[in-house]
Amino acid sequence: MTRTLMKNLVVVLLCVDMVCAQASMPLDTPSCQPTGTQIGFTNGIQNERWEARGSLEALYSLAEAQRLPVAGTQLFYHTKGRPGHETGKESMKLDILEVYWQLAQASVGNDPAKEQQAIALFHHAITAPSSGYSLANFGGWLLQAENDAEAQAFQAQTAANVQLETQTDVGLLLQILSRGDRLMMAAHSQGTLWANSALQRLASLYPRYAKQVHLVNAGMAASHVWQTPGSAYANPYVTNQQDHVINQLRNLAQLKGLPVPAPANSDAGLMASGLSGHSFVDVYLKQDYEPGQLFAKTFSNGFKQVTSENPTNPTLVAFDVDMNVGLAGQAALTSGAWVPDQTPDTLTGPTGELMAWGQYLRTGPQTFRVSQNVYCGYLGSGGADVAPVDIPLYVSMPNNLPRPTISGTLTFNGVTTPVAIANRVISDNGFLDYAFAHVAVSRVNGVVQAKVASY
Amino acid sequence: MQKSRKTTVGRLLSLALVASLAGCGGADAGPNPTTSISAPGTSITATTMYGPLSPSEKALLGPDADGNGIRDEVDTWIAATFSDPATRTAATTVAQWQTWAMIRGVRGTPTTTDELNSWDAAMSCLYRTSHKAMGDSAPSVNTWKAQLFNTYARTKAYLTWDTSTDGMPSSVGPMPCNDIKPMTTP
Repeated sequence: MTRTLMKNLVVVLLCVDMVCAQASMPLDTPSCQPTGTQIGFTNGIQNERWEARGSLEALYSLAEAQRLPVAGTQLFYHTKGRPGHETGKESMKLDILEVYWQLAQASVGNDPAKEQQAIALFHHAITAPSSGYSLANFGGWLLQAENDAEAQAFQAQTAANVQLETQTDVGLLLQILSRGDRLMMAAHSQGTLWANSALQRLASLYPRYAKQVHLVNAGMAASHVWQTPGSAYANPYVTNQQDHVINQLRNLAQLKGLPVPAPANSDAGLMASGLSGHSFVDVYLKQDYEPGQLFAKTFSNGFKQVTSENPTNPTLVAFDVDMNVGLAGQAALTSGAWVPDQTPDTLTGPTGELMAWGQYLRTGPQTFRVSQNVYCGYLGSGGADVAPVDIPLYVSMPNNLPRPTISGTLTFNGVTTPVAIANRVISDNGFLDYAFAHVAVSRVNGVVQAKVASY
Repeated sequence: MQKSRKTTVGRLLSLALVASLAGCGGADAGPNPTTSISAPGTSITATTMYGPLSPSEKALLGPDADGNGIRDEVDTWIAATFSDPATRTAATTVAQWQTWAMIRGVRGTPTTTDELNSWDAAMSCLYRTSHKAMGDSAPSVNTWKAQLFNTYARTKAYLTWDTSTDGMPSSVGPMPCNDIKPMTTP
């Protein structure tokens, strides 16, 4: 291993001058310069992207009205249904399955070591009879599998998809935060479950970046709000007493043995008929209603808090990773497109993903290039020398597949290094993350160095 | 068509295409690269915007006499709805990107991050310019969808594309109208 490590060690000297560093980057490479404080939004069920973007824009308008200096907007989008099931009952069913699974995971603190408990809870939720509760009360939320096999298929498909989307959210979070930006997040409905789990995963993998995020949940389906590590400011939530969707979910979760959404803490009072009390734009942003006023106040406070808590603008170094990975003895890694309605025996979902900094690196089977992605090394403030910051590059595979044998080359700033995957598991959350290579970035005597090595 | 009329029409179409591709105006107007502008005198067709289209894709696009990549009745609606020039430009860009999305939906080609960011920037640009110019009277998303996706086939194509972007986050800068990159082939 040591000989291999030495053989593969590459030392690259990078320019400290940002212009010099940027001049060596591909033209469409995003900048590593921090821009300020971004705002982000995670949508709930049954939203198309245009509607989710509309919610984020309404949030931006609120921020603008409060004179918050917003550096940009980030949309963490999760669609309704799946390809081939974009509308109607099937679409709703798929969304509800996601919510059930996310609640089941939340019941064990999103701990991958307790996945079996979560599976058992999910299984119970969709197989136990719902006596005493009528379709008239709960409609499509009263989801039940016809038998154990169907329940298992639901769980496998849903879990894998939730896993992939959560990891993709983490990838965007890293891109924003690694360049020194702050992020004020808002999440609505099921989005509160997405946001909680993505931020929790971010905090477990990259705790220093998690400090740069604050969150406010609205119409919260979750039982709690993710808390920013190291901050005395408690991330809040706003749930309307008249939010009939969350009220319904609360009753149903109690029936199903799932974590119950947190109690309402605000009251919109009398609203126009036809409003469910749940709409993000028409209730939780509406300044005519108490929940809207509370949301506006807490969002503004959170924005100012995350900005004041993270004042430094470090000198950042950008570097690009171009990876060409061949596969040996393993099915081709797919692009991640999910095929619905597959039984566990013929699961044709993604068999694995090559990742760096939580971002998927793939354009198709067997060969992966990430030349357009730049990941900024956070090197502290004032140009001071810092010890190596280790950034792992890894392959993420479902943990029920045989261990992979993967080798390939990694091109870093024009230098190509052969690397081989090792049997080093760096995390297990239903997917096993195998360390592939790592980049250690440091600044010594004012000179930035980046070392690329295999594990 | 006479050569001189063809040239004049070509010039007019070129100008229309330049105007429609210039992106958003308004408070954050700035350089907006438009590499798909044709030289004056060049005949513009939908092919210029989206590349060659199959018969079913042409049906999705619908009648497009001026070749700006937008169905004619949508053009008429935009002209009647948006009097502010910057907002009308933003609206035209949205209509083009949504038509792109429909075609991409039926083709099934995965959407890249850059394309998604541009699509999002177009929506954001429209939102900001229209709300600035029109306030609460700006058409809602549902009103827009009723105009754009007025058949089953168009709705299906659009939703297919939308669902294909499931779990794909996107980023837009502080001046979204400047973040819209040249449209790629759908």
